[in-house]
Amino acid sequence: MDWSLLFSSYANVFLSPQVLLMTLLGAAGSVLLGAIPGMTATMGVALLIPFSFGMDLIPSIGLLLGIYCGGMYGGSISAILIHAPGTPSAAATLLDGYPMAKKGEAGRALSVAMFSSFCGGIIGALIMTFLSPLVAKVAMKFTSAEMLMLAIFGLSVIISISGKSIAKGLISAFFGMLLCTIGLDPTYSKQRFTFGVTSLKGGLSFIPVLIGLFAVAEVIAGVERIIAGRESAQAKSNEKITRVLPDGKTIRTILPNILSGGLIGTFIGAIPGAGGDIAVFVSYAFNKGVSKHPEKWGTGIPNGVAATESANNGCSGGAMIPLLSLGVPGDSVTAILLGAFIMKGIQPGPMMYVSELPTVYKVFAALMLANLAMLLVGCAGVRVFAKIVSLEKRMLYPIILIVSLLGAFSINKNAFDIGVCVFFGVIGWLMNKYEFPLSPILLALILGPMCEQNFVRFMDLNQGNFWEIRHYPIAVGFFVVAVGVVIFSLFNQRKINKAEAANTAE
Amino acid sequence: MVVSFFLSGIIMWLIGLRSPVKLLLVSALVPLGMWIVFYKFLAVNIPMGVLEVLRDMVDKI
Repeated sequence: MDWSLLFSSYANVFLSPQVLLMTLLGAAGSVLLGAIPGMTATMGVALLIPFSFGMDLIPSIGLLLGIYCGGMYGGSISAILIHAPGTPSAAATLLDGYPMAKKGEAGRALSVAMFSSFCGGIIGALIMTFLSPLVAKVAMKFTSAEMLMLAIFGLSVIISISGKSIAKGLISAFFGMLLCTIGLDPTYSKQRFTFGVTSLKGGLSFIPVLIGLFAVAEVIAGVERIIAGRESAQAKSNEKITRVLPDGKTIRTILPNILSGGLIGTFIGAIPGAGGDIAVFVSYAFNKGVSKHPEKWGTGIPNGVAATESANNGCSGGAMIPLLSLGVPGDSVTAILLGAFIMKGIQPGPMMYVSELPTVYKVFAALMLANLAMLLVGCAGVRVFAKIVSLEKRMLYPIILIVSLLGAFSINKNAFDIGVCVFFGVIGWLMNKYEFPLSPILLALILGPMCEQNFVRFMDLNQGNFWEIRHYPIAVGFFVVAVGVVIFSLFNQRKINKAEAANTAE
Repeated sequence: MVVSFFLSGIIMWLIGLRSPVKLLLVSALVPLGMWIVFYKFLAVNIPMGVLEVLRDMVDKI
């Protein structure tokens, strides 16, 4: 590694007013955008890419990376405050973030999310700087066998996020898997469960389902609680935010979760086709599994927020690794970034490290700067964002509903998605009422198509002989880990249930 | 837009908000504000129904 060139590239980027301004603007716009349910970082990058046409490469990459990192954190704001993940990558943040907000710790949850996002992003950027060719080499060995087993490994965390009843968690996951089969068969394009409805041919859109299951269901449940007199309509949070960053004690508690989340996020982000939405659940399950108090997870502890937020921002660095090293985008945002590079006459790939090394180092620096910009914007905004929960519930619920429905519409600009959102709102409300966990549905919706596509591809390539999987060591490794996770989670859950039963008896 | 206007109004009424000023402010201004954000900044064209005239007004501004 050429250290002097690396340092001079960092200095060039950090001391350039244009890059600083663009990165800050991108992060600020994207944090706000990400906070709107349905508005993802991909949409932000796609919307703002025309503005980068007239700029030099590094300011334009700074703008786009600012949007990318800001959007990742922005998604957690609505997940924590209104139970509506702004982006799919924030879907696991609400498991502990929303209970924290309900306990009157919205500001603390936001600051933990922001700090963890920043640290996760820095971990991703550092790994990208020092290990990108090595990580890319491993990630690119992934064929349909490894992707299938990665999906199965992802599904193995269902038990960890199932809550009290594993059976109910599995039923939810099975329901999610069934939902994945709606639409055209990804391999043979046969229609499944479309019932002649054209809008169902493309399958159910993930984000309207996500918004419906969490945000709309919460509104329905909240209105029900108020009508039944179990909650005051004038109820509001009066949390006083004294600091925008977590205190030293909290940082010490969440540091292991941040480190493991950042590493898990970076590695999963480096695998093309796997992104933050998978990494957050894997990180959550891992950190819950190794925690001394797994029974506290899901009740509103900062560790849960830290584990997920560091993972999704770690993904941003991870996704850049195959882009720069091999010219293969790791996710949808890096696919747009690839377009931006090509428009500027630079072809990412192995040769970029030879012919455009200063540019590569400047991109590393721009990612680091984007994470710093996100932290600055987050610090400035924590107090403002937390004000949302200080609204009276009778005004907050309609606002959540309007924002959620408009967010659901904005994905495909299709009114059918509003119907999907409301339908799943009712489903989510009923499932909550009968204590069925909702997160396994999301995980199944994310991993179901990946599982099906790679299974069919693998079976086609191996003439229907599944046993051939033994020739793929990474896939076998994933399978062994998945079995281990299932066994470990079962024991862990039994321990939690016993402890809770003992507490209730006392 | 018209649906969200009525929907939010009905919800607020159901959960006990009776102040006409607050009712009108939330049920009219929030959807309108969100529409402007989506239309002007995010290039999402939300159907306006009978309020289509507002789009022309915003376009002229």
